[in-house]
Amino acid sequence: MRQTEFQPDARVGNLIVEVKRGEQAAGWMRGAVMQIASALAADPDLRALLVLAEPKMTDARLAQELDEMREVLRPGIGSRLFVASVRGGIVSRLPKELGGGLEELVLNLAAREARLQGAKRGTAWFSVLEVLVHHWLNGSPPTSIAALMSTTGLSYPSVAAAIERLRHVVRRGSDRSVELLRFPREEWEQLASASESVRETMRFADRTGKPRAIEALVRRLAALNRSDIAIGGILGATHHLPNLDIVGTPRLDLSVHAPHGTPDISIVSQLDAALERTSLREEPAVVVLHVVRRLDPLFGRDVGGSVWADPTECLLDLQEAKLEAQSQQFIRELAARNGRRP
Amino acid sequence: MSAVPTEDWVSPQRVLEEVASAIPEASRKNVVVIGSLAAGYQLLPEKPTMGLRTKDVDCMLSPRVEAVAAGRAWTEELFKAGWKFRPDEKWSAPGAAGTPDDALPAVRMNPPSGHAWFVELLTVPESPSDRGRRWMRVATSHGHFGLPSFGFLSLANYRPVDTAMGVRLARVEMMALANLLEHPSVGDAKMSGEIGGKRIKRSNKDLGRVLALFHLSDDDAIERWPELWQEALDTCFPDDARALGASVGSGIRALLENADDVMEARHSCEYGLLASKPLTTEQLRGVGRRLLADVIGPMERWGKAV
Repeated sequence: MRQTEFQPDARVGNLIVEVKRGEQAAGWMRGAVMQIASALAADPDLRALLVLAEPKMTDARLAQELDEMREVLRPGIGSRLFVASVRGGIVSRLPKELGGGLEELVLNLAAREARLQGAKRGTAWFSVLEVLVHHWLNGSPPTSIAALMSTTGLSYPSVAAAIERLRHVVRRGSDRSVELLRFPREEWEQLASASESVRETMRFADRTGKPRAIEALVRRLAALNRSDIAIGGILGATHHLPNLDIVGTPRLDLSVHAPHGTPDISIVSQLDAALERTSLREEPAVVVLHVVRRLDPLFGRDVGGSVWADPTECLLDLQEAKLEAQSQQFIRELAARNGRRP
Repeated sequence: MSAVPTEDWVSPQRVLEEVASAIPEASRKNVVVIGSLAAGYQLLPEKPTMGLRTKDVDCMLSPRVEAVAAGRAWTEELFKAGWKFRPDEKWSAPGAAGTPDDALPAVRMNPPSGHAWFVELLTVPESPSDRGRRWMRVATSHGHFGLPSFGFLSLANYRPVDTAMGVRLARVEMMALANLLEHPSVGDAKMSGEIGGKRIKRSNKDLGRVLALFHLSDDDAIERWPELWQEALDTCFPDDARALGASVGSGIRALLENADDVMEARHSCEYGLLASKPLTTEQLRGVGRRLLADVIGPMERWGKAV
């Protein structure tokens, strides 16, 4: 193969795979195709698979774009170019002629791309911060870099950079383990203020004038028996700290584990078909979804089968709901209960 | 948004007490109150800002074999107590011995208190397959009347709810089911009278009622609707229970897909069960989506299951 500047995301035999994620329009797809086409032109035995992760276009539109692009490519190149898409962890349009066993590779590449984008946006260290605070609040022993990598799904450099950023509140062990010395208030405030975009928060409001009772929503959630969706918010916080000083539950906060691609928000209509997504902050939300991107969501299942978001998710929910006194109580008492001094 | 009470609002509790006290003791066990009054009594809390606008208090007499005797006794009693036959465009007076059965007026009686509402008597159909409109003659000393039966009225007689007043009430979810089955599509037939100054399609009135019943029911009750509907269909229509279950949502879907029909349904609700708290058309659509997802979907799956 002649050297070109293009470096695909993966190569399997004579198949190269390139992943592009979450772009807006057709123009970017043409750019990606032209890059790949130059590689195909350089090697007549090469075939290429372009994977579009979470594309905004429909599959039908993607197919149409590809057909149009094939027409302008040199003969013999368009027929060696294939396109598949990944949405919400599901691969579609994966051509059979490329052989089996590709699906897992495609999913892994799409997930890696998602994490890289997260890291590029400067939010990777938040993920490490959350996991360290999770261990600190729970009174867990120091954790290793490897464990942080497998929990967050981040690379060694990303985890190391995050720990470096937190060095003034982190104790490093001789065995390369790390733990927080105290609750990192300043850093946590940064996370809390960016929480909405970092956690991709989505709000859903009632459209009937009679919001469904939160208890009924929780019952329905339990009946769905989903392990990727956990109860957070006030309910989650009171699960972790039963004496939290709060009465009533105005909304249901749910943490949705979606390490790969788009979270499954169809759950909302299963809880209540009258809920609709709203972007108006002043509109009271009945259900609020927060996306958890780390590989291990740190959810816990109780003996009754309910799945609960971890304390850091619940803490962020309290703060997002402007329940500052309860947030402070939550940190103080949960930490004290587990032998920590805030 | 709550509406301001108007003169035509009635308190379900008070009307039901008045109706119950007018029924002869021996006939009380035969009476099941259906329609908006029965629904209002079960769903609307008794307070000044909660009421409904209703004109007809539908009372079903069952079992069918006792309906004529019970209807006769009650009608005589009503006349004796000062109740008056309610004339309309078609019938200015009760029928006579020579009036054909299907041309007889129904027993429609205004109370002596002078209120605009009236009691109307009906009965259950003869058999599960008897879904057409039928009339049974009730001969009284004041003239001849007809007791109508039709469609899915037997569902309103399924496990009725007892009250302290001795009369029983049709279950909310059974009235909803009967209305849904009665209207597998949105028909063009209009109501004979006006509702709030408008003549609307009967389907929109009845299917709008289903949305109102569902909206006013609490979450715990709604979760049991599919199970109760299945039980009732198996009992009342054993031969085609599943087929009825599978088709239960066709009418309400058709209504929700048509903006004009939704507006008519909303209007009808505003002059009925939702008088105290009217909904916007958007809200009514939201209620419809809930109904489809929570109750009709499970029913249709049950109906289609082999």
